[in-house]
Amino acid sequence: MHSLVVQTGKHKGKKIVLPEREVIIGRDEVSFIRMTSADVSRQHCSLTPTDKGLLVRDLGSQNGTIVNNVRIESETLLQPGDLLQIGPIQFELAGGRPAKSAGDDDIFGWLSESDTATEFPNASDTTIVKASQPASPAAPPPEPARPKFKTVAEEARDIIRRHRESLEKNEK
Amino acid sequence: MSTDGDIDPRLAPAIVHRILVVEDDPDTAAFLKTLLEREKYEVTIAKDGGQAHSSFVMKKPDLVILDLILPGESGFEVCERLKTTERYLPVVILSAIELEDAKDLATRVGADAYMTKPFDPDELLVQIKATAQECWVRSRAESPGGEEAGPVRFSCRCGKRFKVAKQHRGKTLTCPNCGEPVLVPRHE
Repeated sequence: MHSLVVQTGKHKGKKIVLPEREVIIGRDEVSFIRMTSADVSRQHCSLTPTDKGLLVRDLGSQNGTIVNNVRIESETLLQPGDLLQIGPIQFELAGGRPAKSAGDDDIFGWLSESDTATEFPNASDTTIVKASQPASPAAPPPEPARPKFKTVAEEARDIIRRHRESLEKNEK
Repeated sequence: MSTDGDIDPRLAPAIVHRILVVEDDPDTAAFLKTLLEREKYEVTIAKDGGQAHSSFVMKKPDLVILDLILPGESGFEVCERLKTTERYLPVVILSAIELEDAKDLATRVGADAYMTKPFDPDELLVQIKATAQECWVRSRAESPGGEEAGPVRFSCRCGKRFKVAKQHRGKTLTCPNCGEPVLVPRHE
């Protein structure tokens, strides 16, 4: 299990535990670590855990992915102690699991420059609420029957699973 | 996502020369390659998302035909990533999945057309031309100084309606009604 320690800004010292799968870092909603800085591309880079270390791959980001102060040109293996810079934030690859891992909301909170409204600086005709703001008490509850998906990948997996189930059902 | 409308048959060949086919089934991939090459298209085959992205970078296609069930990353995610990079790249989904949810998600990740397998080859060829033209027209209309100037209107699943400026297409906002993330559609 790999983890990143924030090295810069007010969240210096915070630890983010990475799952045992490839994750994306970027501005996109689908990113595992969301960073709202304009210096970060929507899908900035990916991190893949391997037996030899954490593999970082730049996804064609505008400002590049920096490892140990050098912009990477190809897939690069991170070892504990290596520095990873994405936009304004620098991380250090640590080892081992922390006593308390951070939730997604915490991570988003740390790395957001302000709130989600910064994603739509000119959208004066759009209603935006802060990530931490609860829904209005008067608002109707979301449709209970419809499953909620945090990412496109999750929703895709569910669709493919249902498709396969329907095929198996038809075969029987 | 339709083949309706007037299509100038002389226009599409001028736009689409190179087609990237993302398909993991070798028989289907071979059939598509033969079919498309017969129509004078230059065809590249990718078996998964990784190959698709490499091919996209190395040899930029004019149109992508994309299967949804792929090893590793699904076609939905491939589509989303391609569209993030190249908004007006025409993407035709060609999948055995007939679920409406699949068509809905495909639209949300930016796919321009959705065809189900088994497919009629002639229909696919028509769809390629229609989709290429639609994307071309859209890119012209939405480019700076284009004629289309109104805001993007869309709704959350909970029914809450939104109206935002066009430059926010592809971004995600949080619905104040239900608190769920809502993707601003990449196109109408």
